[in-house]
Amino acid sequence: MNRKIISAIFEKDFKDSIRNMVVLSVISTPVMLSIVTMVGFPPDVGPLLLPTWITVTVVMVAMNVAPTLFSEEKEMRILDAILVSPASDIDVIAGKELLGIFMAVSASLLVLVLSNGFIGEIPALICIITLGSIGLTGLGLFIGIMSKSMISTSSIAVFATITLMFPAIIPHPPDIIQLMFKAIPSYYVINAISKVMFVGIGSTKLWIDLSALIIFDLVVLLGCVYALKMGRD
Amino acid sequence: MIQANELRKEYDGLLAVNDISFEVKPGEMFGFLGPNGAGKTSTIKMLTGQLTPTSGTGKVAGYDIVNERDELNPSIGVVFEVQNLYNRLTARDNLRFFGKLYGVGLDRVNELLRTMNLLDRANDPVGKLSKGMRQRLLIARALLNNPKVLFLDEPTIGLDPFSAREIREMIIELNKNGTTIFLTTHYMEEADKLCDRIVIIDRGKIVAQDTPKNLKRKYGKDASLEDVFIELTKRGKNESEDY
Repeated sequence: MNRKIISAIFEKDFKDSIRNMVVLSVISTPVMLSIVTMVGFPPDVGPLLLPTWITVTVVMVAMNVAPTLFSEEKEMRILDAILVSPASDIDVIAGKELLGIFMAVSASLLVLVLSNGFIGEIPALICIITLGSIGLTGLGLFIGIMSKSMISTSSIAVFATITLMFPAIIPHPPDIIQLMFKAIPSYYVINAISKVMFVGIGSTKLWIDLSALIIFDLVVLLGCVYALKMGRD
Repeated sequence: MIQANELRKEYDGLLAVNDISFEVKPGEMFGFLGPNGAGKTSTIKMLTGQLTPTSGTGKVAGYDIVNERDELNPSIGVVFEVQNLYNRLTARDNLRFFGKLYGVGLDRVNELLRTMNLLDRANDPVGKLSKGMRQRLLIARALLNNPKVLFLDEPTIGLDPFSAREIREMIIELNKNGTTIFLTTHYMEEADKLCDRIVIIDRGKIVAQDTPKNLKRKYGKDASLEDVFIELTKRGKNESEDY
């Protein structure tokens, strides 16, 4: 891993993303929706919706920002130019990951600031948002690496985004659905966020959510590097 | 400077490059010609470390194309057949980004912008530049690291005659300064003018390898390189439709 190359990729992606309308709309949509919802609900109900909106924001931003830029690079064959430079597969994934995490955490913090929602253990909350962003950005990148075109990337990413939102937007599902949700990584994001905001970091079984997220992150990141390497064969 | 030994590439049973061998000497301008789908791009991708050969070996600038990719990459420059640039970023930002990947500073970026006559448009988004300017920017990007070997994949395709001539003059200048050039083109006149030696590849196999002069001589007194190319790569009507 080369730190200078990773920061160059992050800096370039950041410059490119703030000029990309698709990326800007992906970031602003959950932020706007959350603000509208917070304003439209009574003050005692609004904060209870925060875990939902933070999870939706993390899912939408992480799953779409870096993968959109990546699939564009791939389709335009800019990725080929990067991969014949001294940048390695790991540098490329790390640079994109940094952008995805930065955007998802920034958008989530914006939701918290605009809705005056700093409740519970804030450092732990940011830590959970970051853990969720790592894996979900990785999952989006994996979709981008495996897809043949930008259109197929965005189609699959939209389907995956909606699926990942289910645990956040269906708070009290039937038992069988609840069981199925346990196979969806965002289930652990919203669970951990709710616990940290309303119960505290001493909450029992928080470690299960955190462990699940860490395992998910590692598996997805290894999958991305492996898939990018396999692309050479 | 470039050695290809029995290079072979198969994609899911489809044979794209069929055990080809050739050598390019230091400082040479080497033409690699062939019809669409002949295996040119696959060969370039193998030689530049983007693709792993199914079998065979290769060396570029003294480095193994499979096992020494980390050493190979800083020694080569590649101009791709597509204009793969960040259209929303400026010309300078494009070069600065790739400069950072190669550990090259802003001085070198500005020097190349000047050499390529792009300094006055350096702060314009690439999407607003003409095709000829974007092609010059691609060449500037490939030269950031002062490569020993420059791979040019169809560098003048789709350019107007003025821009194409400008690019050809730049290629000649680079070659005069000692850069080994590996050139693919569909323009036979271009290959004839520029290249010291030529390989013609068809359906993954090398069908001819010589200087342009010798190749033309073999096919008659007034034969052009285009005549030679067509003769060597022609197919029957049915075969052509199937291909």
